[in-house]
Amino acid sequence: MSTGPLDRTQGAMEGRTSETGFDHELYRLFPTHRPRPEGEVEELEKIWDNPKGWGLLTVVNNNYIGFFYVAAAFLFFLLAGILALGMRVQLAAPMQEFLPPDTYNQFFTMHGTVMMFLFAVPMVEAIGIMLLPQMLAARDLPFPRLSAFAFWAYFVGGLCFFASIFVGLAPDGGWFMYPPLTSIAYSPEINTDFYLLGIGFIEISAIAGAIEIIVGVLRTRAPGMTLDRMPMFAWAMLVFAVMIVIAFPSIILGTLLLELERAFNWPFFDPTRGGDPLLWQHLFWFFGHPEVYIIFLPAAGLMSMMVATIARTELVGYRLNVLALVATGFISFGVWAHHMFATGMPRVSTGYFSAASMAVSLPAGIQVFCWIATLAAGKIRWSTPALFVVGSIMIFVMGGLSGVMVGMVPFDWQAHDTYFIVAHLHYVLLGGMVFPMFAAFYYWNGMTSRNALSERLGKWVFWLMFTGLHITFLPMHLTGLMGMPRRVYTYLPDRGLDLLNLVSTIGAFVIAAGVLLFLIDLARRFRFTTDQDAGNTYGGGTLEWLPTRMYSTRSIPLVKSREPLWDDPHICDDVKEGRYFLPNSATGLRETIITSPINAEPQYLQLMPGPSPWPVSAAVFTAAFFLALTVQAYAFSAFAGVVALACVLRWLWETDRPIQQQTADIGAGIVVPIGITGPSGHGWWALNTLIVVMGMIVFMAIFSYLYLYGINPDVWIAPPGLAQTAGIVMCLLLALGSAWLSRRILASKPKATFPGQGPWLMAAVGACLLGGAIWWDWTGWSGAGLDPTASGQGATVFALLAFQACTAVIAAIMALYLGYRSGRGLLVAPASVTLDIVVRFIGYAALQGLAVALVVRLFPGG
Amino acid sequence: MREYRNDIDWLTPTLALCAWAAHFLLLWAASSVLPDQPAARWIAAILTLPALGTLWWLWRRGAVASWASIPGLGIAISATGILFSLLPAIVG
Repeated sequence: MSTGPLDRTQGAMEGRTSETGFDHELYRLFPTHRPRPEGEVEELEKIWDNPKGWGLLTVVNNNYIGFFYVAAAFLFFLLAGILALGMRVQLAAPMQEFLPPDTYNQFFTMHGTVMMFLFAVPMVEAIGIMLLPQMLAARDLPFPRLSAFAFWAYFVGGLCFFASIFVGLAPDGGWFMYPPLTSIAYSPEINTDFYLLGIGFIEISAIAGAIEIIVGVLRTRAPGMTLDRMPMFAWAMLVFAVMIVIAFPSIILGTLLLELERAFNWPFFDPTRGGDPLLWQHLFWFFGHPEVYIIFLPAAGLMSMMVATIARTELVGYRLNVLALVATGFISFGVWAHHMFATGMPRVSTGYFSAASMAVSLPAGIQVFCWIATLAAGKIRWSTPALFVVGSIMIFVMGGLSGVMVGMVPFDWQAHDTYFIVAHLHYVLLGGMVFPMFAAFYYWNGMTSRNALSERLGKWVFWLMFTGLHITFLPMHLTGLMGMPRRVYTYLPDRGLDLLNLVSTIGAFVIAAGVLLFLIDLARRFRFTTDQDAGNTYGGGTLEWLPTRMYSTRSIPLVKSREPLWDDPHICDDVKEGRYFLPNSATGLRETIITSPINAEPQYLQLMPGPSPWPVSAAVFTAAFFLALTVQAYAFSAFAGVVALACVLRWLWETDRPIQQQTADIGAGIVVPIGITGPSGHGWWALNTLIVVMGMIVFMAIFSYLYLYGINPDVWIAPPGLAQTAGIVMCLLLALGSAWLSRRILASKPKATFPGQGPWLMAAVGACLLGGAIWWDWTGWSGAGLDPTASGQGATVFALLAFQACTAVIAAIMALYLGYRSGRGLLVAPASVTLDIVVRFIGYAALQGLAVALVVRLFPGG
Repeated sequence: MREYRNDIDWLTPTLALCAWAAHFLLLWAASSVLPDQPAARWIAAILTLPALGTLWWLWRRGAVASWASIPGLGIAISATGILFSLLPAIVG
């Protein structure tokens, strides 16, 4: 085989059986044997170095952002736990006056909301951001500034949101905020608005993190890490992120609609004007039940990895486990209405949801049996993570079994809104997420701390939490079956509830003692580090245990098995000595290898951005935008929104810059391009994911429109005439054509030349056409006599139009941004990532406009 | 160099689960539009036939060797889900 770079590039394109044309024979060149030049490691250190002190606010590297994220999520876990203790003190005896009723309402609402939105989802995303790059042997995730933005938006907004409880303005309608209790008639204060707008930044943050994780898992895996060799946690995070993309739009829409109803009197949930409060329940639970699996699946991924190490054997049924993850992800979307059995749904409908609730236990059972089989097949080392893992399986199975009970309609009618449900959900969430999280803290502590945590104290922590959990929640099954309703601040004496409640309160403090002991251990032993970590304490076999620094591994290994460290005793040394891919910085900049989604074949080198103040600035002003809206400071909110937008554009300004170097040697003479556009580019994948999110919002809004028509068709009026509809369709088709033409003009120009004004002007024309179409649509409906405050039809139609108008405004801003870049000479033929993204967004906006206009104008028609 | 290729057919189980999802949503839509009417039950029974037919087609298309494979098990889970969904229409 020839060894020249050119020959290898050619060879890389000649392979016939690979996914991308990459010749797998080239893998035989690794590990290389020639000594690496001096100074490469020092150069990597310098390139990936991070600012210190206040400069830490600008870091974007996953080692820091992941750690900050985990710490912040754990802080919210502690805060929500303190609220729980307050509630348990109130309920320790009948007719207590420790918490007044209003405060108690705020406590249980904030406990649920903070645990679900500020702890559970962010925590699993945080662990993903911290672990995935090392697990996949990438230098970092593909959009580090997006990760930083997601974290800061969450942290700043989360703290402000939590602070509402100190001024008595915290939400008080329960974490699922059912109208009409939360409508303006029954909740006139801004407590509910704090929930509806306050969690807006969390939704944005979760979706930003999901996009990062999907693209990261599919496109930044080490060469050779085929889908069949991905760590179970990476599989779990992939399913998790896809579920977020599908489920979160529903809650985004729901909170938006309820806020519109409260602020502008649009009657989505008002049955007297053609709305329906049950619409909220459908929208909420279409997000809310998958949310449970969104939390559980990443924890299951962590469990699968820890189980293998604990038992010192390969995971039994790796592929079965993956299938179970995917199947759980699917079927979890078919169980949302089992929270609504008591609402009087049609009998057969309840049967379908009951059946799906049974079906989802099949894949969950597969995972549990795989873990048990692995533990049985190996030899367990009874470390602290092992205790938490085994305890988690027991607790989760108990919660799952009571879940099957409440999945049966007649039983649910008896247990609905009682403490039986509280017991069930805590068994599931603590067993399915909190215990695996503590196991993971101990197991992966060695990656970020100089010292291992204490095994002796760790076992105390486990036993306190394990026994405390049963003492707290086992009696709640009984109190629930005896008729004690949840969310009521007290109970009468001599109803047989006194002792059981006292026991539950004692148990809560036993759990708290376990958590406190963990904090003491952290304070004693944990010392954050990025380069002198305690290492592989428990003997894991996956790539995160390779020697790493800020740039992750010195070289990116070729992956030949699922547990490379167990199968190749030399891999740590070879990676450290730079004998694999990308042993240096090929461009003198931050970079990572982008690989193909299925077989992980090297495709190109991605240049990565470094520290920047703009993500944190954008995040702070995004949070300020939502919080100012909440307190009705509209002028400041508008200001914050404009500044947030300016910060985002400024951060993007530094990306997608033309560079002289077109190709790079990524090791052993293999040459790949630097940055590409189109379907192979990672930006293409990210935009598509965002488009799915927006499409899901529109899909759920159209569902709302059809649902309200089904409930109350009498208030529906005839749409505007067909001629107007045809005109709007024509406008939108022209916008689509402009977007297509913009790219064609750029592609037709000679390489590395300025393409003139044509490309951005065509994009701008497309954006203007979008604006024209939505203006025509809006005025057409107004002219037809539709009023958003008059009926469910008016509210849903104008909500859809408002969403389309926002999309058109974003498209216009993107087109102007493209024009400005073009004017500054940053738009170069024949292809540009920025232009590609702008015109595809405009194209999507046109298609979205078509869907919106046609559905509401043609159905149910005149 | 087959060792660097993914040989597992993940598409078949994914499509099978999509078939379950489509079947489930259509059944729910029918039962919501026609609440407590026998037609909703008939629609459920009729829709189950193409759903199972889709699974059979996926089995043939993927040349699935046995149930004890990833595509086979994916189809099995989907078939179980579809039959579970049919039950309330028959006996509920």
